[in-house]
Order: sequence, then structure tokens, then C-alpha cells
Amino acid sequence: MRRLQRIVHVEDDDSIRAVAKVALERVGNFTLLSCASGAEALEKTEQFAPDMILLDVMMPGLDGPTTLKKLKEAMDLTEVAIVFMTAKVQSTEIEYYKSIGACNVVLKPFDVMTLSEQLGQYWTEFNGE
Amino acid sequence: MPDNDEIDQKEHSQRAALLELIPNAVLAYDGNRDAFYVNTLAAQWFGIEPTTDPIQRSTLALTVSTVTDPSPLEAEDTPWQRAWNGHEVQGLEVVLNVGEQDPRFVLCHSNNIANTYKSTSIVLITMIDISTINADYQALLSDRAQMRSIIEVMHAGTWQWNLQTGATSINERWAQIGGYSLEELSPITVDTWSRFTHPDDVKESRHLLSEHLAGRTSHYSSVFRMRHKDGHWVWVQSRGRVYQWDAQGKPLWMAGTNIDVSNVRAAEEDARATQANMQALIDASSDVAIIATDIDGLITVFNTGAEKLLGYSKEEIVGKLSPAAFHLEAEVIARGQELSEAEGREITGFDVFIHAARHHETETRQWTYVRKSGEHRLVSLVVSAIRDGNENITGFLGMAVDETAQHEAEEQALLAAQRFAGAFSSAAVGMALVSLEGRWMEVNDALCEMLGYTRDELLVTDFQTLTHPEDLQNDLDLLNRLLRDEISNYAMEKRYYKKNGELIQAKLWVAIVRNRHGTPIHFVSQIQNITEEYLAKKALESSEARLRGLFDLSPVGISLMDYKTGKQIEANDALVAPTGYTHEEFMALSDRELTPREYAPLMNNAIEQLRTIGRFTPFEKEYIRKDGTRYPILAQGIMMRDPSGREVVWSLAENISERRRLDQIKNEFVSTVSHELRTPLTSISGALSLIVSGVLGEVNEEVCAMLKIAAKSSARLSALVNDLLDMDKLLAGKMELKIEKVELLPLLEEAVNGMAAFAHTNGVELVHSEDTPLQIQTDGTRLIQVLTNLLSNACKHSQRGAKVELHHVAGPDDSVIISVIDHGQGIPKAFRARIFQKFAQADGSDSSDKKGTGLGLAICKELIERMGGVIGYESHEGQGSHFWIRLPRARTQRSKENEKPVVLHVEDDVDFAKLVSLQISNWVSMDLATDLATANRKIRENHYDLILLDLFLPDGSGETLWESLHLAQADVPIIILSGHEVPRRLANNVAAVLIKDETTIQRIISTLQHIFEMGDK
Repeated sequence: MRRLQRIVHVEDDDSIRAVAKVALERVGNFTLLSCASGAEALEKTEQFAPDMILLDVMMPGLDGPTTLKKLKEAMDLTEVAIVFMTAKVQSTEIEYYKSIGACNVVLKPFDVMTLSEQLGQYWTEFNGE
Repeated sequence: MPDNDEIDQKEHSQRAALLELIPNAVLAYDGNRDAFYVNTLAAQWFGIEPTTDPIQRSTLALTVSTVTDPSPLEAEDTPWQRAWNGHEVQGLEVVLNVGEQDPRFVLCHSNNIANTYKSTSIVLITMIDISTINADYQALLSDRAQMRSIIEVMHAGTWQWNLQTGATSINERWAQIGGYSLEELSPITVDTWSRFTHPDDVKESRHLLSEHLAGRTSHYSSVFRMRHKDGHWVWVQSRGRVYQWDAQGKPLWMAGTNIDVSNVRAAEEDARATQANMQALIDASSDVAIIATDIDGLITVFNTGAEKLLGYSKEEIVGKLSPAAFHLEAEVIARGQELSEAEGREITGFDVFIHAARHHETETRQWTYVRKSGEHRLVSLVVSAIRDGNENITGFLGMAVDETAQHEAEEQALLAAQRFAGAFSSAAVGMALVSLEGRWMEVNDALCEMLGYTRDELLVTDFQTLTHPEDLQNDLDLLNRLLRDEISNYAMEKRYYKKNGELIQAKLWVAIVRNRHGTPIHFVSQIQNITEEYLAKKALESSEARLRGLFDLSPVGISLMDYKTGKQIEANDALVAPTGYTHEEFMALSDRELTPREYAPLMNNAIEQLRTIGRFTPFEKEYIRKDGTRYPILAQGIMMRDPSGREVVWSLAENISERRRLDQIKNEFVSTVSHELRTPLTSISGALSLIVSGVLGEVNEEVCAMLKIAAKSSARLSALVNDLLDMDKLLAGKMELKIEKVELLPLLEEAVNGMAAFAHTNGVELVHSEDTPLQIQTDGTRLIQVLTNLLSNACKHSQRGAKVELHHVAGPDDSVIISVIDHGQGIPKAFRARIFQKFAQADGSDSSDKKGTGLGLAICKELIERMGGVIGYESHEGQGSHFWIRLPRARTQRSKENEKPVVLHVEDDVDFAKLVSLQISNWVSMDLATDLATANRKIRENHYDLILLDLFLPDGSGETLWESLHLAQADVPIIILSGHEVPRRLANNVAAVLIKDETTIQRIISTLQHIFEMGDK
């Protein structure tokens, strides 16, 4: 299993994006591409060639699921772990995200100190299956 | 020569012998007028001793009278004096009256006999006793005189007939009867009679004559017709007898009388005819009983009417009985006493009936006759005397008329009148007799009271005055129809004015009374005050109208359905409109036809609930519109019986489309808010955490301290937002629990580990020493959430250095009890009542770092109950708190129906508890706790259906137990059974309060039964 290294983070909220960037780069030592919208992600992701895409669900313009759909149309994502970030916790929703291609969900608010560890665990699960 | 004396003596003896020889009584004078000699018989007649010596006349106690005159004769007129005086006495009849002897009739003769010795003569008077002869003679004389007078009075003709010679003589009258003179008929022979006699009567008369002549009848008596000179027949009665017979004993002379009896005969004929007519009349009269008696009361006439009235036949009565036989004895006696008193002498028996009649009065009285059958009949009896031509009473006549029926009718009428009068005056409803003009003629008390007038006041008014003007015309119209005989009576509701001006609502019934000719006389009215009923009815109508308004205008759909058939009976617009059907179309559909098929299980459940508990709890389903689309409704219903006993279901169907939409909006809003809140919170707390953790390099110590405060506050804010969202989801039923069989120990360890850092921060030691492995049914994540909450609370409320203990034990009934125990201040009393409520905070003055969100325990209770468990606490202020959770170890289905209810009796008086237990142990499982600690343990470990709670317990007040139970297990009923007064706060919040001194075991039992029955429903 290769190591989780390159992550694309798509999040419309600037402050979350900033906190997540510090948490993932400083605590988890990942290489991060932060995108402020779905459109930006569609533009930069393929070139970045990520191991994982962390997608916020609710975003103006293109929301998380739509962005994922368009990304899938644009490139091969079979080797890329897709993780949604959402405040909604209903299990039905988690099942829904899994059904559209996510491997798991990170619930907001997330713990900045443990986020990297959590994503590492999801990465292991993604590759184990 | 004998001397003179000798000769005298000799003469004297001879005379005496001579006198004695004469067979008659003899009296003789011998020369001395003052003395005479009598023989023995004469002496006897004269009432003296026989003697041969001369009797001095003056010594005789004897009077003499003539036959015709009883006064004594003068001495000179006596037969012997007359003879002495030289008068010849020949056949002189005198009466000798001597002392007590019967008067003696004497026939006297005198003889002068010359005395040869002396030149004087002897006077002899002989006396023959003719008393017997005289009596016969007197009788004959009297007969003759009488006969003569009779003959004269009767105007009788006489006849004499010599039967041997045929010589016949008649008197003038005899001839006159036939209209002839005596000369005209001469010569009279025996054939004279037969010549004038009717040929039809001759034979009979001859026969009667021969009967008499043969000595077979004492006299001859015959009535026959004689031809009158002018040709008509005269009825003659001839009577006679033989009065002389010849030496051979053959009849010689016969004499008799003839009387013209034509008049008598005619009178007799008349009487006979009249009597026959009367008899026919009497016999024919069957309506009037005619009874005649003889003078002694023996019945002689008993007609058909009497037979009919009395039930006896003529033969049974006539000549045999007296009227007393069919009179009521008591009545006769009573009447007798009346008469006796009035007359001053005793009047009894038959005299009672005829007393008045005897005195020429015709009396009419009422009597009771007793029929042969014993039945009584009331009769009016008229009694009069029957008199002959001489006004002599010969009998009595009674005529009786049966008045029983009439009397009964009269009594009935009287009774009816009395009854009416009684009913009238005592009737509870108002009654009145009203004149044709409307005036009150008679009113009863009830009516006076109803209208507030006295009787006198009411009688001077009329009904028109008292009637509300709006009701008057209707009343008058009906009254006129009654007068015109178009209706026989009427009833109406109308208003009357009371005296005080108040209006009353009344029900009026009116009938008309007519005389026998059909002319109206007056009205009879019955008036009932129905004001109260009227008002009640009005109120009911208005409440019905209100309810109907509610029904019609309700925004919630309401329907009434027949439970048995499911058919709609009524439905309001709110129910019908959203379906798109017309009202008619809707009514034709059943609830099932309107409901999509997939709701059938829910519908069946609702029907089952209706059947068992009479209502169904609200559930959501859908209705199908006419166009096929659906909309959601919230249905709930209750079963009732309509007045006819039919089971009907009232159901509410609330269209919840709008609510659903609003829910959706709210949910979206909550999601949005939570998102919008969480996102900044995430970045704030994330950023702060990163700085404080030193990832970004060393920070100035003072700055770091401030940043730490900020980090902590943002964490609390995050927790609050999370709790809010949790609670929201829980209450909306949106929190889904994954209940499964899990190992308990790892969960407990995880919770303890999770809290370790927090405990450490608070300087509290978390102790979880037990390691018994147990499996339980729960949602692990949520149980950890609950335990974390409880442990966090325990840590917060503990002193530094104190212990917080976590225990778990296997409880009875396959349960697990998990306890979190701290040794802090305990729960303040003031807070206990709100402990499981949302946003409850123990103490506002607490240091800020101990503050929670105020939702923790509310969420815990909600979660534990959803997991099928129970949460509770014990707390002693100053001694810490003990929170516990009881959860099932396995999914068990309590089959309540087969089990007895379980009751915990918290009571330190063991004897009393035993007494109660004995009485109810056959249908209740009793458990006893004699102190608070035991009670708390038992409540922790067991499920109870009811708690019987004494408040005064050795280790504290039962009130605390009530408090925790009331809050944690509100559905477990508590009965306080105390020896003292119970505070109102408690009394209002328990199922029942019983004071030991004032109650009985029976009362306790019935209270328990009542509560369990209620619970079952």
C-alpha cells in the first residue's frame, strides 16, 4: 500500500480551509491542494493527481456530490479515496454518500489534532478493500 | 084428749114430713106472717141449715129480683109475701140471689090449704129451679130477637116449610125479592120456589138440601138465581135448617131466609175481575217486586219481579216465609231501635216494616235485600197496609225497586268527582277550569305557585292577560277549533307572565267539557312549567350549534364512522375538501378505500386499539385524492356509543401536508444553522487548538493562557450546538438507535477512558474496579454518550481528590444496573424537581467551568428510555449523588397479562405490611422495603407496577423516593400510605393518598384495584 501523501481539499469556507491546511500539512505532513469551489477543483485536480479528495458537501455553485460527479466524468478516480465532510450525521446520509462513490465521511466539527489520523485510517480502509 | 101443745107438736111433725115429701122446694106459712117453714131443698136454696122450726124472715140473707131486672124486689113483691097477702101466685119467675151462689131462676106457685084444726089456712109456695131452662130460653129469645134484627137488617125474606105436609109460608120480603107482592104469589106451595128458580141452579140447590136433610150439613145454604117479575135474574142466597123433627126423628119443620145477593154477587164479580187484572198486573211486573203479606207477615203474594230480584221462586216463599227472610238482619235491628226510641216502646221483627203502614202512612225506605245467592241488592221499598171496607187491616203490600245499579252509578259518579277534585287540588302540575271566555274558574295550588298569584288574585284574571302576546293568537286559534269540535284537545308550548313580570315557558294541554247536549261548558287546562327544561334544551341546542359550528368550521377533518361497517356517517368540509371529492362522493367511500393499501397494518392496529381501549393513538397515514395523488394525515380517534347503542368512531384526520412542509423547512433550517454554526466553530476551535498545541511554534505564555480560554469556550460552544441538535433529533423521533447485543465491559472502559482526561483536569479519581463480563441490549455509542454525561456531571460536582465510582451489577429480571456515584454536595432540593428537564441548571452561582449545556440529563433520560431502560437517582444533600441506569440484558418481552402486578410496599411497620400483603397477595406480587435504602435498591433493581409508600422511614423521608420516582418513572403510580398529613405538593402528584388512621384495608385494596383497572385501560 502506498502512503497517503497528496490530498485535495475542496471547501468554500476560507477559515476552515485555512485551519484544515495547517492541520493536514503541519500535523499530518500531507501535501495539500486547497480549492475554494467545485469549479476550482475540476480545474486543478487532474493535474495535482491526488491520493484522496476531501469534499465539503454544502457549497455554493457546485456542491460536493455534483463536483464528485463532474470529476468522475473528467478523470479516472478509481484509485482515489473520496471523503465527504458534512455536519449532517444521519446514517442514511452516510449510506447515500457511499453510494455515490465516497469511501467515508468526516463529521464537522472535526478535531484538528486528530483529523490527519482519521484520514489515514480511512486511507487504510480504502486500500484494504 | 091431747093438749094443744101435744096437738101442735104432732101437727108440726106432720107438716115437716109433708113438706119434705114435696119434690120441689117448698116454703109454707102457718098463721104467722113473719115466720115460715121450709123443706130441706128450699133451705139449701136459701142458704140456711135445714130445720123443722119456723124461720124468721128477717134472718134470711136473700134478695129476690125479676128475671128482667136484677135490682132486689120490695119485700111486699116477693112471691111468698104476695101469697100471704092472699094473691094467687101462679108461674111467677124470680131470681134468687144468695151470697156467692149463682143466681137461681125459680118458677113459683102458691096454694092455700085449709087447716082443719085451726080456722086458719096454710099458704104453700112451691119453687121450681128453672135456671137451665131459663138459660136455653133466654138464648132462644136472644136468637130470635137477633134473627129478627138480622133479617130486618139484611132485608131477608123468610120461609117455613112443613116437610111432611108440604105446607109452606113466606113473608112479604120473600115475594119482594122477586118483584112481587105476597098476594100475587098466593097460594104459596113448595113449588112456588122451584117455579121461580133458574133451571141450572135447581139441581144443585136440591142436592144441598138433601145433604142437610140427611144430617150431613149443619144447615142448608145455597145461592141460586130467581127470575124477577120483569124477567131478569136475581141472585139469592138461601139459608135454613130443620128445627123440628117428628116422633120418629124425621124432619118436620124447616125454616130459613132468602137474601138478594145480586149486588154482592156483582161486587164479587167485579172484585174477582179486578183481582184477576191486578194479579195479572202484579205477576207481569218483573221490574217491580211486589210482595204482599197477611197481617202476621206471612207472604201471600210474590210476583215475578220479586222472583227476579231475590232469586227465590214463588213456591219457596208464598205461605212459608216472612219478608225478614231476605232482609239484612242488622238493618232491621237498627231500624227497630230507631223506631223503638221514637215510640218509646219496643218495635221489633215484622212490625219494623209495617209500623208506618199501620198508621195510615205509606212508607218508602231503602233496604238491603239479600238474594238467595247471598248477593246484596239495594232496594227502595214502599210499604202500605191492605184494608177492607171497614178500614180493618187485612194484610200488607210491599213494592221494591232494585236501586243497586243506580246506586252504584251514583257512587261511581261521586267517586269520580271526588277523585277528580282530589287529583285537581293535589296535582303537581298546574290545573285549571277555564270558562268559555277565558276566565279562570278554578285553579289548583300548583298553578298559583307557578304563576306567583294567590288563588283569589288568579280567579279575577283570564288566561289572555297572562299569555305572552306572541303566543296568544295560536292559543286562541286552537281554542276556537276546540269549540267548533274540530279537535278534541290540544297541547302547545307557550309563555305565561308571572305576577312579578317574569316569563315562564309552559306546556299546556286543553280539553273541553260539554254537557249531554254537546254544548261546551268550560275548558280543563293542565299547565306544566317547563322553563328549566326549555332553558336546558336551549342551552343544549346552542351547545349543539356551537359543536356543529366547530365541526363544520374545524380546520381539522372530522368524521363519524360506524365501527361495525366502517361506513361514513358524517364528515366535515375540512375532511372532504382536500380529497377533491364532492361531499356525496366522499360519503360513499370508506376510510379504507381512501387509504393506500400499505397502511393496512397501521389501520388494523388502530382498529384493535379501538376494540381494546376504545381509542387509537395518533398515527400518520395518507389519503388518496380523487385525482390519485396522496397527502399525509395524522389520524386519531375515539369510540363512542350513539343514543341507539350503535358503536361509532369519531376520528380526527389532520391534514399534515403543511406540517410536513414546515417540518421540512425547519429541518433544513436546523441543518443550515448547524452547518453555519459548526463551520465557524470548527475553524475557531481548530485554529486555537493548533496554536495552543504548539504545532505552529512557541507562543508567549500570557498569550497562550488567553488562547486556552478561548479554546475551552469554543469547545463548550461546540458541545452546546451538538447537544441542541441531538435533542432536536431525539424529540422529533429522528434519532435512530442501533440496539444490539454488545459486551458491556468495553463500553464502560471506553467511557472511563474518554473521561479520564476530564477527570484528571478536575482532580477527581475515576474508579471502575469490576470486571464481570456481561452482555446487554443497547446502542453502544449512545450508552457511552449517556455514561460520559453522567461521569462528566459527577466529576464536575466532586471535590478535588474525591472519587467518582462506576459500578455495574447483574440485576434480577435479567437486567444490568450501572451506577455512577459521586461524593459531592448532592443534588440541591430546589433543583430536584427539574433535574431531568431541558435546560435545567443546578445552580447559577456555580463556577463557570462546571456549567453544562443544561440538556445532558434530559438527553440521558430520553436515550435510556428509548433503549428500554430506566434511569434514576438517589441523592442526599452533602453526601453526594447516585445515578443509576437499568438496562435489559436481553430483548425480553414482558407478558404482563399473565403476571400479577408487582407492588413495592415501603413501610417500616412490618406487621401492618404483612396485614396488607395477606389481603392482596392472591392477585398482587408484594415486595417489602422497610427503609429508604432498601427501597431505593429495590427500585433500582426491579420494575414495579405500583409503589405503596410510607413517608416516615427510619433513614429518612419517603418524599425523596417519591421525588426521584416521580421524575424518572412518572408512569409508575405511587400511593402514599402515611400516618401523618401529606404535603400538598406530594398529594397533588401521586395516584392516591391514604391516611392510615382513617382508612381500612378494604379501602387500600379497592384503591389498588381501581388504579390497576385504570392502568389496564
